[in-house]
Amino acid sequence: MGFNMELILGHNQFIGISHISEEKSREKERQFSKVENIYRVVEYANQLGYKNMIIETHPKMLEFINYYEKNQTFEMDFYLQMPYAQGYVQKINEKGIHGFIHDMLKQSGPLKTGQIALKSAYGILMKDYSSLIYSLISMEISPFTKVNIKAVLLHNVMTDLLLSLEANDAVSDFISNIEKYGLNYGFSTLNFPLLSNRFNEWNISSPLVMTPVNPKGFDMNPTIEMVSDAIKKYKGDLIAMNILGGGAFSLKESKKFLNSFENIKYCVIGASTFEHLKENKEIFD
Amino acid sequence: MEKLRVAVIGAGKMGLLHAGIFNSLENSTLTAVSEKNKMIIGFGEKYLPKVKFYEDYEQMLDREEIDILTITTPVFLHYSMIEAAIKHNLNIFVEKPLALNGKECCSILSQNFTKQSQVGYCRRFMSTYTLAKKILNESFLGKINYFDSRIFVGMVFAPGKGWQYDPLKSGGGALIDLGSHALDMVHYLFGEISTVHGNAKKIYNKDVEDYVSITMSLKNEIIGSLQISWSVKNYRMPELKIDIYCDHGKISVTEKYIEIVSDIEHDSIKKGWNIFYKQDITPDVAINLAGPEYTLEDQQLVDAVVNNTVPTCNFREAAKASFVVDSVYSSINNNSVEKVLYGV
Repeated sequence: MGFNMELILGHNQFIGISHISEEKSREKERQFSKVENIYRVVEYANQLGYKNMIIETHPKMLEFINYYEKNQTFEMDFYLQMPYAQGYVQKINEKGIHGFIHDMLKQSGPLKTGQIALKSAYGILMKDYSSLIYSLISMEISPFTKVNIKAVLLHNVMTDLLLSLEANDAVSDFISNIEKYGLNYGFSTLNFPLLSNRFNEWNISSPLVMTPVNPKGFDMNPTIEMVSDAIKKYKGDLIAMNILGGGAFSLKESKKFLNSFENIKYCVIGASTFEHLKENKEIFD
Repeated sequence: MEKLRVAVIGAGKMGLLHAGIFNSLENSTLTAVSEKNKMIIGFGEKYLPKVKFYEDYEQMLDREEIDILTITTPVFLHYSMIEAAIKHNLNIFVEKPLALNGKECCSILSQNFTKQSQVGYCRRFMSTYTLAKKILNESFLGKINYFDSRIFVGMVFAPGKGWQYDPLKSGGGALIDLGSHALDMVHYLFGEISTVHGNAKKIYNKDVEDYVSITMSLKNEIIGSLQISWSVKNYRMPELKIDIYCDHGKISVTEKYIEIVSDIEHDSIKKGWNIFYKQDITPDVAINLAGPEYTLEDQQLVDAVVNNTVPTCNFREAAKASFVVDSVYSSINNNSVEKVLYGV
């Protein structure tokens, strides 16, 4: 590549997500049902020169992080994406919203320390929404903070929901809570022009953003042209994702397209086999 | 023009999704939400200062100026909320299925309702299925003879606790919850159904079915089958796969891709194998929250209100799936082949 673009290893394949088909998703789930198999692929990627990896607060990724920490035959830096929304939906389905929050506070909130009586603390916390958000964020990211986290990215589902609802204070609460951990924050979005415009209103100066960039304009909303323009004008760091459309677009075509943006510093590449990791690295180097 | 004012009843996952979309479209804005859960109201009042929150939806309907009402509540509440919305002369978006059963649908359809409606059968707005519909409409593959289809998700492997598992509140199990999507798609792609024969099994839940198998014949002589389950391991997301067998080729379609094997060359379809991924054919949308299909269905309703056109998945169209669901339940209970009555 003509200018320095760093490759970040993606994680969708490890948690059984494929943009191509559900058959492919199941195949990945089988392939990576054992954490050792994930570790081996990441280790090989690291040897090839992938020094960063993006993960999310998914149970499978926690298993991987624990395994990585125990074995640590290589050094990797991580971008952590949160929240794992599907997990919340499942837990709320099982326990109801109050049951879910009660469990969560017991696990990670101030209740864990046993300083205050469970019942009254619960009552107070249920009305203190900022503290509730802090507890939720703590519960999600604490298990991952033992590895080197370069930034915590708000998942595009959440970023775009808050963006669409104009929930400006919720964004500030996310930022201040991540900063309490001494970590950097960033946003993932499928609606980059809308988000980058909103940063001024939110008084945030050009944070790290991860967004889809590919030659077909897939998930580049509202249009590929508007996203491209907004990217070119953006002053902050950018991570390109969905660059291969999960395998629907060719690597060469995508690379040529990415080359037209001088300010994209990083791009996420997912690969499940040694051959693909190598091929991607060679084409992008 | 003034933006259309949108109110939402039920601020769960789907309610928030539609609230966000309507709030971001050029011609609509979110003004009010009603929700029973006090904690959700608390969050809403703190973070969405522009929006008015209510615990009682009737109070919201009485007090607010509303152009579009979005109903995203458990199914058993749809009917009375739709009735109230019709009385207030509102345009209505309701999540699927339209109502608990065919009887409620008949009652909704018999009202003097002159506004626009849309029901959230979102697959009608996914690019792969719309391409399948376009190819079938162009008729170059000849007559459709047979289809086989299945909709699976890996969600239920233990007794569930929510309203979905209480048939009085949900209308039933996997058939109405998941299967209604597939039955709506059968109407969208092929047309009305003449007879159905269904079998079902309850494994994880004592009151609602987890597995359903249906064979059906359509009014236009197409025959087909549909397998439904929410208890299939390793289906992270719901997948509706339909294989369609025509005189001159075959179409396989899912949410993510469409594959066409054609004996004939026609426009962009080559003779032989063709595959299109959603990544290649999905249209741009103003905002994308959980998939462009949700934006497209909401956008179509807003456009219909502005331009006085009719949305594709209006009450009359969406009720068809509910009528078929009723017939399948009758077939399961009576172990018989049932005629689908479409509310007659």
